[in-house]
Amino acid sequence: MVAYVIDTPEPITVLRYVLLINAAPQSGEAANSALRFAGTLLEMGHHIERLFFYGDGVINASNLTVMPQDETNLPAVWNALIEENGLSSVVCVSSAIRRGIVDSAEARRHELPASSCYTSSEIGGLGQLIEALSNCDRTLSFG
Amino acid sequence: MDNQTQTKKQSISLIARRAPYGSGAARQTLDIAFAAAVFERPLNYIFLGDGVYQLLSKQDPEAIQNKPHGAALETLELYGIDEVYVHRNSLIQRALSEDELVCKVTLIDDCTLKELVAESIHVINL
Repeated sequence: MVAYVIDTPEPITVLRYVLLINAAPQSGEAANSALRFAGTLLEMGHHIERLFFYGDGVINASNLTVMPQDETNLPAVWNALIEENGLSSVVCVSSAIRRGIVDSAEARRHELPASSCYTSSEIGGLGQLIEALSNCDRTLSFG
Repeated sequence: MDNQTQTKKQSISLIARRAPYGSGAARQTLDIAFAAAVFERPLNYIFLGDGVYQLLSKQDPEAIQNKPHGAALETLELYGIDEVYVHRNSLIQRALSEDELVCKVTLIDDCTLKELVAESIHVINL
């Protein structure tokens, strides 16, 4: 499969990527690198099979983070990227509930007062990571 | 390639390179291994650097309210995970030996490690 992009004069071979994001937005550069890498893949015409947020990386799906105006709110940018490109984004449930990242269903199940996960991401299990590995050409882990 | 080592290469390689406690990395790597096993996806489980401490048989993390990670790794075989590789130099550098480990492993040198990683389609490094 070949796609033509404006910036790239030569046709590229489209690859399907899985990105495993294991670092919180506030701890170092890994989550930001993952975000920029994802954006660049899409710009170049590649396909993102799935984003999988694992360990501290689940904080990237929090819809409750607030940043000073001159700093990037990574979870908000992830959310925009996922929504605009219709990406499959999965947040590991066992990592998430430990860190207070819950969607409305998990909030109900655990009798919590609120949900904290962007609805653009789905709370799911490691099976969805393994499944995505079967359908992709490249896997990259960040953090 | 190490002539004494027989490796059976798999498309997924998990590289455990952190000590068992102090971060969630060891447990998270193990959970991926179990998930892969449930989906019958064979994998290479590679222990490198401080990751070799995960395999020590004498672990007593009760004092820090943790579950012994070595005991969990002992169950790998039950899950059909038998491609367990340990980087020999990582053991030597830490004055550890193979008989201090919880399960049967294949010791590998730098070249074999490089080959395992190079021939894997998916490498997950935690």
